[in-house]
Amino acid sequence: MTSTTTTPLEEQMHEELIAPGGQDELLEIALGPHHPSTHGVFRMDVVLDGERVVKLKPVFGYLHRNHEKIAESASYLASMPYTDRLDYICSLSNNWAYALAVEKLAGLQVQSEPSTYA
Amino acid sequence: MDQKLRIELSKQGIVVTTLEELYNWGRKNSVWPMTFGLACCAIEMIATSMARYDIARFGAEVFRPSPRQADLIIVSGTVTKKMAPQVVRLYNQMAEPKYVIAMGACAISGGPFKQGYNVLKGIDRYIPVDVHIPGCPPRPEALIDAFMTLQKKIDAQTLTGESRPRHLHPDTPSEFVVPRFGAHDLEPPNNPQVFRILNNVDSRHAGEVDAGGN
Amino acid sequence: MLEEIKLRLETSVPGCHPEIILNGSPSEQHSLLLDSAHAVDAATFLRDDAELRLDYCSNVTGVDWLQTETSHGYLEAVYHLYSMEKKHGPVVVRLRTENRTDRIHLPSLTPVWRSAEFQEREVFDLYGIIFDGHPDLRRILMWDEFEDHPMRKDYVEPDDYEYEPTAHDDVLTKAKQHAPQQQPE
Repeated sequence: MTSTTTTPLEEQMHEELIAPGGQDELLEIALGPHHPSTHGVFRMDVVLDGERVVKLKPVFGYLHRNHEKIAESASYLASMPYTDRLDYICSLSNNWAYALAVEKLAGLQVQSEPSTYA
Repeated sequence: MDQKLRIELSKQGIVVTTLEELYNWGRKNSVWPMTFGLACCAIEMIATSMARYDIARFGAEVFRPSPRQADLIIVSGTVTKKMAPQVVRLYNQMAEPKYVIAMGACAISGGPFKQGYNVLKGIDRYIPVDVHIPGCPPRPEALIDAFMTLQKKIDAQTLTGESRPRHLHPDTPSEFVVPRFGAHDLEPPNNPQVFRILNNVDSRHAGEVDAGGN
Repeated sequence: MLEEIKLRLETSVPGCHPEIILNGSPSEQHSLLLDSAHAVDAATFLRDDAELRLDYCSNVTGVDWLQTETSHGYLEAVYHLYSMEKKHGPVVVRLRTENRTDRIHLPSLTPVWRSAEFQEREVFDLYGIIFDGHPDLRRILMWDEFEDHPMRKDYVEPDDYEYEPTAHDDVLTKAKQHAPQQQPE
């Protein structure tokens, strides 16, 4: 699917991904999806020079929970709880972003001061 | 032995017990979980291990990062199909006796993300689960209650006889088949020895007790 | 503002005829449709122009337009561009493929905005659009041996509805196919 001639950007990125062999031995390790240092499930293929990380290739998708596909068949209000679980550490900011998006899409004017109920 | 006699003797400094009770008492009060948090339920698990709802007072003193040193795996969070082989591999690497708590709706049956192409609908398709905790996410008190249920279950396990637990039976498997990535789904989509659909039970694992203590 | 951008693109990038696609919703976020041949040049102009300086590509998504009576169906890649320097945006740019089935190549805008690299991989994974010129086009969210493109509207998900205790509506119909294994409640 890619052409045989490489663009300069492709060459640069290929260079970055291939470890420079030669003087030191570099160790390539997969810090797999279950590791105390990975927050959540996130895999990193690291190339190490001693203790120093020289290159890193992240692999993710271990928590792909297809919120978009679910939102295709749910109403706007029904996909609100799913946005909580997008980034579960700061759930309210996801809720707020979604609410802002829906309000903009529907052209709703929401008053910012709290209303007083008699 | 009669309970009152036992209490009387213990007041005099004589402790009477059976080997089974001693063995189970030692095991149930030192269940060390593995640090295995996948998603949002992991935050609740961390909260349970913190100062307010301390799970260390129940014996889960340290959370071991290595599966070889852990007794319990708390599957907390959505298990996706991409992650499922790694979960089964970790479970295989744990040493017997090992227990599984499926925490949260996602680990029990896929949860709110059930209609998903990447979500495994329950971890009990591949590994045998001892305690299920419903909730999205379950409160820390619910996790502590599940832990206590597990302790009751361990207490009820016998040392000899037909109903002895899996690790004392030489024939029952302790490693389960790791699913492979197929073209459209995992292969196999479930493990028929483990995923026994309700009302279609052929043979139970030796010694398996469900949460009610039956 | 999109009219000005369109005029400047027409003058600066020869041969480029962008189209403005109107958005019918109250949000009125209209988008600019670029053609595949001049997309990279137009994107470079959008990034480097002194007044626009749209240097931040915050989001790349895909859209699947099914075949209707009027059109033969196509896939789209939608880019949201912001400007960090001049603090304006978003400018929404669309690239459209010709076909849903075999002519699904689009030029990759990763050489212009590096942040589009992972996002274009996601669009490739979920929609199947092949980006030419992308340095490392592989699947990112699904496993490598997966063969479908799940976010397409005609994707059929695998059938693992063997055990559904509280089934209703279409889940019930899916669960009934496994009925011999499951006794009715």
